Amino acid sequence: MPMGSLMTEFTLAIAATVIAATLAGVYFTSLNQVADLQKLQVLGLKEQLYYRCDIIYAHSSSGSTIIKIWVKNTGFKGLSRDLIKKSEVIILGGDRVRYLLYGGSSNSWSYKLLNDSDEDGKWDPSETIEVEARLSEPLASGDYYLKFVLFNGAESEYGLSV
Amino acid sequence: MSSLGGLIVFAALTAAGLALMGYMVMAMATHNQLFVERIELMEEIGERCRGYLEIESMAKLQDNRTIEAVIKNVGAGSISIKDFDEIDLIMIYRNSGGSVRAEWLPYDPSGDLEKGWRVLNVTYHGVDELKNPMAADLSSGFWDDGESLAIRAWIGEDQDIADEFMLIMVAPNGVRTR
Repeated sequence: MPMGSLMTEFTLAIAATVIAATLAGVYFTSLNQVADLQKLQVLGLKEQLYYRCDIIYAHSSSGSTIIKIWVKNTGFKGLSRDLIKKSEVIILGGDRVRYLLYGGSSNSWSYKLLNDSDEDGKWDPSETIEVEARLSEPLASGDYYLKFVLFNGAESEYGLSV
Repeated sequence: MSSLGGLIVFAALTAAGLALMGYMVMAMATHNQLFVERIELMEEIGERCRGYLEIESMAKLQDNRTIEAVIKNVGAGSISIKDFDEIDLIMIYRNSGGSVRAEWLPYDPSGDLEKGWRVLNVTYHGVDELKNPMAADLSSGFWDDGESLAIRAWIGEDQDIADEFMLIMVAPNGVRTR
């Protein structure tokens, strides 16, 4: 076989190998990306499920500056004190929106654990907290819409009429 | 093509094929695992969303601060008596001053607390339960589907139930009264 022909074939073989490797690399990368996306999706789903809550009942009366909200942990993981304090209370109604953060003053909310049977200070699954939302102005008669939002964005809504 | 070129291409393709097959098997295993995890999560959600509790009857006692109620478990699953402290009972009532009040009552099997609720009995269609019966000392047993739980609940001495009242009970899994 002439030397020139051998070189050509060798070059073609190398080129074919490089092309095959490149295509395989692209294919593997795409598959990896799909798998990563699915893992992220499941992780997101898990976090949304792990931390969930449900407003059982809310109570207030016309002229009061306090709304009591009972919220149950319906997720699968407990929340530490720090995570509970990152929650938010949103009250819509009376032609305005009130946005309350955790605190001790007016226009804030605080909580107490009602059935912390293991006394670990955590808001464990199935346990309930009593949230006291303190407003700077008394509630007028009417319909209100309450939202309790956890640190991860999971929220529970409740309609309250006073 | 010469035998050398053919050999190299064949070797390269074989290696790529083997790697691809291996990767496909791994990818399928990963996908399968993710699928199983999703199914498990959905099952867990389903466990939490089913059934409801139904108040069959309730009555106020003469002291005006105690009520008795019978609540039926309609498809909410078996609830262990050991988890009763995770049941929420909220009593909403109007007092003699005309105010509407709402109180969360703790589970108090001994009846020692100022306010609370405790179990009187569990029945199935009016007769003693046969499935997972509760021990007399309330140390074991389940409140199963189809069974009715009789409770007594009381509020503090400084309050009274003037006339109407209502109860909200929420099971540990989030299932509530309708």
